[in-house]
Amino acid sequence: MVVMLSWESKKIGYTGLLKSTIKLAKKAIKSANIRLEDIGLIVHGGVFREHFRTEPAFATHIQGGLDIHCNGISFDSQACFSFDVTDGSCSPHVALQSIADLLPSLENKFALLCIGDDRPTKHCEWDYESYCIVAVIGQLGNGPQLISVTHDSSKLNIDSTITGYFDENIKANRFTKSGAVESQQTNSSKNYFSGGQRWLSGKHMHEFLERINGQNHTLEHCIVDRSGKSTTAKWEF
Amino acid sequence: MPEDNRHVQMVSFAGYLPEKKVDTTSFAAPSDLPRSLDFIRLTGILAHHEVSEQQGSFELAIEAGKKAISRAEIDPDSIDLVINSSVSKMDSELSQHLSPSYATLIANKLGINNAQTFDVSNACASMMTSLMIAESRIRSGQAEYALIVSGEHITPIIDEAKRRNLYLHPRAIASLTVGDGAAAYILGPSKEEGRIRFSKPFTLAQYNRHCIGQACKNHRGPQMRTKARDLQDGVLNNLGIFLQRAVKKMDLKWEEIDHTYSHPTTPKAVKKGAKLATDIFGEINFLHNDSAETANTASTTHGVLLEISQNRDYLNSNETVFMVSFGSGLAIMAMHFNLPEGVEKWS
Repeated sequence: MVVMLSWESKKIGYTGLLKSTIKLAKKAIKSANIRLEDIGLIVHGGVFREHFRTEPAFATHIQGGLDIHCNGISFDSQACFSFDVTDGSCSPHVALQSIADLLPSLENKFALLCIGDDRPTKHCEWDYESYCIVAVIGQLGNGPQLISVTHDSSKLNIDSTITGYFDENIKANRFTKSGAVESQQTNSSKNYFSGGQRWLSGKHMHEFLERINGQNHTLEHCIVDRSGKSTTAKWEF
Repeated sequence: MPEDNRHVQMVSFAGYLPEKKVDTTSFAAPSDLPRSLDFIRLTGILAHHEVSEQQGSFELAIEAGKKAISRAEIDPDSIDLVINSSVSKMDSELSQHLSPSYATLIANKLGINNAQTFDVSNACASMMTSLMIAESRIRSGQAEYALIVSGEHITPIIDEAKRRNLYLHPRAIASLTVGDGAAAYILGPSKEEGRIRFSKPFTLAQYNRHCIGQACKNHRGPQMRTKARDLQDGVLNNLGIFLQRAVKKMDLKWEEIDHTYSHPTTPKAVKKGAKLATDIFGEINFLHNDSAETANTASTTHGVLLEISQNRDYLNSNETVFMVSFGSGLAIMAMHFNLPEGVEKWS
């Protein structure tokens, strides 16, 4: 599918995802030994945005912050395309798949995978550890190779949802979680890693990235969302 | 590995509008607006549709999804990819769905049990972005049939704008141009090459602060703030070269395009874009600028307009369609496809 050429991750506070993403993106692009203008695709994956923003895509703000092909179209100008994907904690794998889907048809052969969440408002209870992740993805090169992404919805509990709402009592926006969630523990072996079911996307990817140094075989990374649905990415080293 | 002769086609599409129709004069008469603005003359929008009390984005999406599946004449379980492209994801109580993906809930309701499900968010270009992803997934053999679906319950931003003093909040005026609606497409495999083509997609991120949609900070529901004129200039200043590059990349002959649809921010804006295209390429065979009574239904606009065209018996099997999409951010992209076999017989 695609190769992860470089990556950066950092724990962040309640907010500040955009600033951190731009900073990490610059480092990751430098590590991959490519130029900013070589990036043709930016895909962001996450669930929570500041003020429950719905548009434009968060990825467009990353593109703007990095100033990659932001301005007008000419007959020979290069392009960068940016959008968001989401599927609970499984968002990183969906984002990787989307990059693998679109990158071959684009002129510029490198993409940015950006993962992370912001606490939407200060009124939201936030018991998450937030991480910001950026990776440079290419079709070829040296680095962990994504072989496949599979999905499993057999354990889906359709009632396990997260919803943003306006709390009339405090006149502010918050979110609420519904449905029972199984408490899945971290499961880690030489060729397999699965994190906690209550983690955000960023922590799933951060913990995965912590485990890939020194790998020389394959590693299956499974993310189980709080809704019970899961995705598994198979990486080869 | 994909087979060399595996290509993709549009199997079906559907649009859905809720029954309730609201005349523009009922909420945007000149006496309601700063400087007695003639909103209808300015935009060309005469009316829009609004959800009933029990409807939200989900219920709208289900209506369009059901219709698209029925027209495709396939078993729901043969669909192995469902992408939701709704920007609003808002229920009748004005709560915003966040997790898991809306597509998961929609697939569950439609009896699609074996599909991968996720959401794509790219403002009004979300559906075309999703179609592009689905096309690639089917062409590479990773999926057989894909449902791309969206329900947009966005008219609460009209109420939000109306609560404001529009003299002090002129960027809320663009919120009066929207309507509720839904659309769905089903893509599937084809042995015939070129039945779906995409332009190179662009995001002109210099405009990424020109239209912001988010939860209203002190009231239930969403709000939108738009630098409408600057954003429209951003589109029109780039449209000519974009179209020339798109037509070339997709290897199209302008005069052979049967039907053309543009994302209708307003019917007046579409006219301006069409004038620009006509000056470059010559006459447009059939421009479907029919949003005067639907307004801008965000990600679902093309599907809603296709449905109107189908209902008016304008569409025939295998004729060609060119669609141009714009989304806040600013995304600009286009696609070209052949209409499904039997489209003229759909009920």
